[in-house]
Amino acid sequence: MEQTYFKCKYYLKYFALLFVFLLFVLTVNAQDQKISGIITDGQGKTVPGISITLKGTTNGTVSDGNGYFTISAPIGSTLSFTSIGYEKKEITVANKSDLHIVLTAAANGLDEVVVVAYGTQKKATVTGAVVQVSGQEITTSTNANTVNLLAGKLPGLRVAQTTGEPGDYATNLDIRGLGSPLVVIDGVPRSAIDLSRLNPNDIDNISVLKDASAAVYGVRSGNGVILVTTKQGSGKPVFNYSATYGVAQQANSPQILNSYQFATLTDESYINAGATPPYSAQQLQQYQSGALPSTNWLNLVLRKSSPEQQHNISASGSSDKTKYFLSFGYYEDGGIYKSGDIGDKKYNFRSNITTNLTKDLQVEMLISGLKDDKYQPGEGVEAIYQALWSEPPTLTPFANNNSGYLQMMPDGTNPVSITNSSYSGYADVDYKNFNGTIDLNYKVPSVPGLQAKILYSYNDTYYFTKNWIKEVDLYDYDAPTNSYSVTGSRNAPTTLSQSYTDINSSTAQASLQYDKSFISGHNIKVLLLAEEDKSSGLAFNGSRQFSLDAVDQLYAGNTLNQQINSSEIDPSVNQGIVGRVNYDYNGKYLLEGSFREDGSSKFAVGHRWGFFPAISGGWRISDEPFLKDKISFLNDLKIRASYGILGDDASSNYQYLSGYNYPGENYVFNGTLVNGLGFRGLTNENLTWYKNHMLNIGFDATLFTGKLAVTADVFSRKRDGLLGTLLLSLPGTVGAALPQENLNSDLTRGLEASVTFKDHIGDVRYSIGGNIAFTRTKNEYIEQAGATNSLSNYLGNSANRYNDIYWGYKVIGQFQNEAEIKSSPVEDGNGNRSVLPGDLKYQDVNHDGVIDGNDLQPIGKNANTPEITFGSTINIQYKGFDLNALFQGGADATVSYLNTIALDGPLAWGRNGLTAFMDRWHHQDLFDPNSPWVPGKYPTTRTKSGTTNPDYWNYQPSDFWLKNASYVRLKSLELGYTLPSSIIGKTGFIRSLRVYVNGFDLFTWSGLNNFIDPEHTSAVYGMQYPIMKNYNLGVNLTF
Amino acid sequence: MKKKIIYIMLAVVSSLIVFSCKKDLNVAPQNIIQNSAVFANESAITAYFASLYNELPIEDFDFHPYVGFNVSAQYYMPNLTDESINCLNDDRQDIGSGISLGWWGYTSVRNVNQFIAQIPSANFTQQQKNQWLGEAKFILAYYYFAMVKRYGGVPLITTVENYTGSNLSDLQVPRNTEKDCYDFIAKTCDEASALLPATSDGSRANKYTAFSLKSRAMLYAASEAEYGSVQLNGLVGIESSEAQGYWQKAYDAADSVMASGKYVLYNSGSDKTTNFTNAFIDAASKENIFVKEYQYPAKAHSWDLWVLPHGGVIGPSSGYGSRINPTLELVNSYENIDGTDGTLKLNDANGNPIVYSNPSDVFATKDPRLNATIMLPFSTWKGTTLEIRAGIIDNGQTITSGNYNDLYNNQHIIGQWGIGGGGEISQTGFYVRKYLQPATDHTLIGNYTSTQSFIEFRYAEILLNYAEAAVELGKTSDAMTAVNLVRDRAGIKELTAAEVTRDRIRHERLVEFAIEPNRYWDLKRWHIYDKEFINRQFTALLPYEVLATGGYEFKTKKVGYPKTFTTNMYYERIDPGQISTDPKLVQNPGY
Repeated sequence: MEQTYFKCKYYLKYFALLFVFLLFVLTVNAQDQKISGIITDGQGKTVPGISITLKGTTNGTVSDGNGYFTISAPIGSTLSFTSIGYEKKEITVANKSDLHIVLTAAANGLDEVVVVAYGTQKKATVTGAVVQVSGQEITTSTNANTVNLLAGKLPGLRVAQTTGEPGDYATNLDIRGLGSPLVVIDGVPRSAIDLSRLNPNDIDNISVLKDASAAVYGVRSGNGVILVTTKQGSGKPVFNYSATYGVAQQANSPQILNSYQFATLTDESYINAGATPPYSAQQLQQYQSGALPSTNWLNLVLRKSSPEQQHNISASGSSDKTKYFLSFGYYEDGGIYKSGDIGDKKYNFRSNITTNLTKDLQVEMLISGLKDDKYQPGEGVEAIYQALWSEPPTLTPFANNNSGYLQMMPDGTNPVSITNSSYSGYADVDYKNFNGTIDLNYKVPSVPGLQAKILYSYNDTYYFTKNWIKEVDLYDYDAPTNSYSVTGSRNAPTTLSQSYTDINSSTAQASLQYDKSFISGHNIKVLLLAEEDKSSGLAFNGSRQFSLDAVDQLYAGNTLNQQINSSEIDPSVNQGIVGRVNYDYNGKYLLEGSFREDGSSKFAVGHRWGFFPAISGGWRISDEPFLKDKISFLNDLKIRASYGILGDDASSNYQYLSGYNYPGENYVFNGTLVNGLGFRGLTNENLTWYKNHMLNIGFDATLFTGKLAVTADVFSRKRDGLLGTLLLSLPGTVGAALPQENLNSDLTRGLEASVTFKDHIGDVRYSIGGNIAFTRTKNEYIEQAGATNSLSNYLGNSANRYNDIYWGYKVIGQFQNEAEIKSSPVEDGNGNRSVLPGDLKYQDVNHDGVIDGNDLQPIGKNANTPEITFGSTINIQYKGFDLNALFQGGADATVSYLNTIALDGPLAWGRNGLTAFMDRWHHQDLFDPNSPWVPGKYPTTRTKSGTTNPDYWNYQPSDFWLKNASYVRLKSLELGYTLPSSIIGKTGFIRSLRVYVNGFDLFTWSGLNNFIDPEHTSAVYGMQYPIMKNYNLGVNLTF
Repeated sequence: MKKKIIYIMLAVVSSLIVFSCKKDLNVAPQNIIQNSAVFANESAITAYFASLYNELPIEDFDFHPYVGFNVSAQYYMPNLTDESINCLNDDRQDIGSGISLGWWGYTSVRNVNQFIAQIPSANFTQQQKNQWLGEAKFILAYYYFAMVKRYGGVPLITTVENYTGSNLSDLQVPRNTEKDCYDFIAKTCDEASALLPATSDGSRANKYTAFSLKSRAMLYAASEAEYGSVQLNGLVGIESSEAQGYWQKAYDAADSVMASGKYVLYNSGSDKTTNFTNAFIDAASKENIFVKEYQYPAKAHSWDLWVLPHGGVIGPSSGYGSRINPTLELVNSYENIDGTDGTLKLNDANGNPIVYSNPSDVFATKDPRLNATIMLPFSTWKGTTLEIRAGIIDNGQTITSGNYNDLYNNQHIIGQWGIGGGGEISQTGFYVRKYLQPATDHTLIGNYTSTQSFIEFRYAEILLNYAEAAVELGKTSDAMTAVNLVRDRAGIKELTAAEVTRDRIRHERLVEFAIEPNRYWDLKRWHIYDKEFINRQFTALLPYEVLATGGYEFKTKKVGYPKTFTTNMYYERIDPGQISTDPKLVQNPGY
């Protein structure tokens, strides 16, 4: 491993050299025009603090206090002038060095173009609930996962990161709580994984279709659509290099008990069980004084901070016929193991080229690829965190502190060996993705406004995993005989498993578009489109055991016990025909109608095709004579509504097919392993997609000469045809469950609002924006057995109820003393004889003297993502300085860590625990069970056995364990300084230079602080890699 | 010209895409095969049987009463009885409450009924089809027996039922009586044995496998009639007048197996302990009638992982182990070789502890099967002495500790494998030896790494079924012959005719089948469970080293959670979900 690491550094050095070389070559070739000028507003007042950027890059300068600026730019390139409160202005650099730029006060981006399904539209005429964020707004912070960069920036787009593990990219993403959205990148359906691994610097904008405007995506549109558009070049060649270096630290991660605390709790648990405590009072004292060892496994194997860096280089520009954007990105996350053996390296490249073959025919070729190398020790993160949280602190990493002998641990998971590839081997995941799209766009010359387009795209995703798990001998030291013996061999015998998965998909589209504006004010736009998407894949894996672990290649392994297998990724095909008409009259009355006839191969013949219509309209009241110029502060007001039917085929893969799954379970007949048949049971040929009825009503308003923009939406989605089974009505003696049918329904409702205010105080320009969204889903019809009585109806009926009700006991306190225990309802099934002071006291709802299932009541919500999500962005510009801060959070959320081994109590199977549990009920004198109780937050310690506990009554679902997971984060903060052109100009070849510092997940306020991060779910017992905060220093250079 | 080419190109490509025909939607995964293909192919029939056999609810190493079949959860059957307790008390604190051991196996029944319905019309030779039909009938009888011994009478379904959309009430069926069910099992076993060949490889059923099943089932039926009581109009329980008939059927079925001469007790070496040890791991044993085989790595089990002593140079590397701790009660119940009561002699006549210079001597006179079934303190496992010590007695002072690493006079106070210190070591001072595979290196033992066959029917059971039925039928000498074959193989004194009593036969089953799943069902069918398990705690044997001499003395202590068996638990609760979909099902008493 050491060697590989060294090689990587070597490689980086070459990369740097190459880069410097390129820099010189390019500098020599560029022909720059030095430009200076002054910027004024409509009233002739000079405007300071305007950003001047070279289009296609993020580089430029800022006008000084007197409105003057200087910049170097190649002739033919485009300069864009932007600032809060002004309309964006673009000019082409000509052979003129002295410019006077006049900016007009912004009408808040109404001329802005928004990417919608299969095209673009002026924001002013959009009738759907569509929100858009620019690439520049995305890259205001640094994170490996592009999806994480979207958190809090768009109302209704919900992002919940679950781990900070390098190369894991696991983040939950949905729109309005509707489920997994369709992700479309440059017009081609892709996966959410592709979005999370996309280089954020390549993104021009991301647009989110939240309502019926997604219906043209048919059978996959039901959960909304995210449209990503990558950058295009314009103007003369511009080269851009940006880099960040940073460190990441654990954001919120629990601490573990030291050996004194551990021994104390252990003794306590034994004494509470009436058993002899394993540690004597004298030993406790020695642990406390340090005479006996205490190992903090977290500090031993984890480093305080892990290194991160990224480099991006891009070239963009255009000639009269060709536009191009070329980029290369590198991202490295070094991970927090001291061994350095976990981490991720990601390489992205992209080539977006558009050229006019003839006057009317344009061809576009988009090619992108990425390679993501994740490496980690042979043990997964979950196993490692389990070991870190639970290995006893009384043990030392090496037997008798002799470094030649790794100490045997409970379960054989010695943290030193399992975090270290040189001991325990490694698991490398090599993820590669290639995407290529070619399209031809033909402007039919004889019919102005008519365009024909065809597109073909091919996407290939390839995973290669190599898991080399080495046998590690672990020792115990025996003091009386002064000897070491191998008492465990972790992962014996040494095994190598390799697997590859190849998933490929393709998209073909053909479309006709017709735009026509009539002098009378009528404008129409028509789209007709046909599309086919296919995907299929295959996985193959093999493993062998090794007698000799010198060569980590399959060919060196033993053939005995070798295993080979393959599996097919379910193939799928979608076909659709789309029609859409947009009509508006003078941009005042807006109407859009669309349909898609869509088919999915996942269903039986006769149930494959569906029709998905949508209609939406808007009315710009502010353009009506009775309002126009009547209300001085109102610039624009649009009311809009949309309704459509959307589909979702994600739930059912070929369930209609009858027969047998082969192979099924296996069995051994006379020494020969025989694959069995899997019985598929009854099938339903009528199964089809979910049908979603989506209604959205909203308005957009701009006020006070564009300073204030307000948008609000309310929506409801009614879904029919959710899968349910008539199972409950078919007797079990039939021996087959009825197949799933499209029976159930639900209803999701919510609202969103966002407000942006932009203004300036002298030279200080600022904008402050906020958004908030709320969503909740209610089951409507649920196929279920009729309740036999009103109590079972109360407890068991899920129809017409919210789908996230968390049932549990209501805790009315902790038992204070034996007398209270004796006089309270029985909760241990044993006359409360096993209950101790400090144990949870539950409400006996039905007053029957027994706490049982009949006393359950709704006590919270078990939504994984908060129902209320919000974000707030603050932007401040002052001369060359810029500051961007994003606060993001969620409310009305709860999380339960019940039955998680470590997060709900210490000492599972005699292992260690978290310091949080020191705050517990205990006897004043540990060794005297008759001494008074000292109250604490948690019940007194028992001999916990993982998820089943001797005091199981404390571990029932209750509001005690339901923690408030509402939070607010300072999600990102960036402070940048763009060097004035007066300095930059002198260098001769640098056009612009911006330096900045930023951070991600910097501060979190939540009820779970110092315990675990609020976004960490209880999945895998909560033992995920911590969520990381990072601090970066960055530079952005254009030349 | 150029434009024309472009037009044509556009037109062609667009139409290709749009009209690429709806057939394109006809893609499907290839791992689904059709019914017609299955019944036309001998390999597919074998695959069918692989699934049917795999679904046999055999209470093997990978069975856990609360979790199910074919799972790697610690095998638990003896921990429900007086045989053993769990080292952690963690899994369940009692012996269930009649709601955990359920197996409502109608999915499996449907699968075998489908086979029985379709095989007659398949295109194979009649002989071949008969053999398969016989095998299917054996499997069907096995499925039903597994249900009846749990629930009493259950609905008898012998056809493949289909839901037409309007026949729901026809599909809602009442329970058959327990008698009906046992009669059905007897009849189906008879049909199976008539169709099946006399020999098979042991992993698949033959004529005598069907007889073995019948002898076991009829023994249970007879016990129900003899010792149970009829409730719910016969849905559970059988009229006592039927008892004799069932004893006779059990006797006859066992007799058929014995008369065949195909099976003998494993008796290969002179050392009785070694012999009884090997009987469970020698795949060539002619005592085996029906086994479930395993193979590494695709179908292995986890027996060694769960029962080997945890830790040290014995235990599996991945932790675990020690989950079945045999009780002192079980150890005591092994007779001495001379046939006398085997209760360990711990104290002398005055009640003072006896000091054994060699601690193993306390077991010296015991039935050789004890050592082959249970790992005793200071016995040897693969060259390592199993050090089990509760403390040291120095000058009359008892030194104990909760921690193996604590030393006294530079000597460990307690043994590495107990007693004390908690964690995953024996609470009772005993570990399981039966079925362990000594050939496997302990570091290689993990989840799903063990491959020894599980013996579902072995000849010793047939002999003891026969002996029990014979005793109940008053045929003492037949019983004596059979039970003495077992005792002779064990290496203990044979019984005289006067000694052949119901209790001695039952006792023989306890020690012969200890740790195997039989005891739980025996206690139930004899209807003695509720009388013997009222808040009953079991005993540990605590060895103490007497420092002065190096000898050992022993104390005892009650350990583990008390076990209680309530009368309703004789019949498992029918899952209320089943009753809600089939209102004609009557719930068992007491739920």
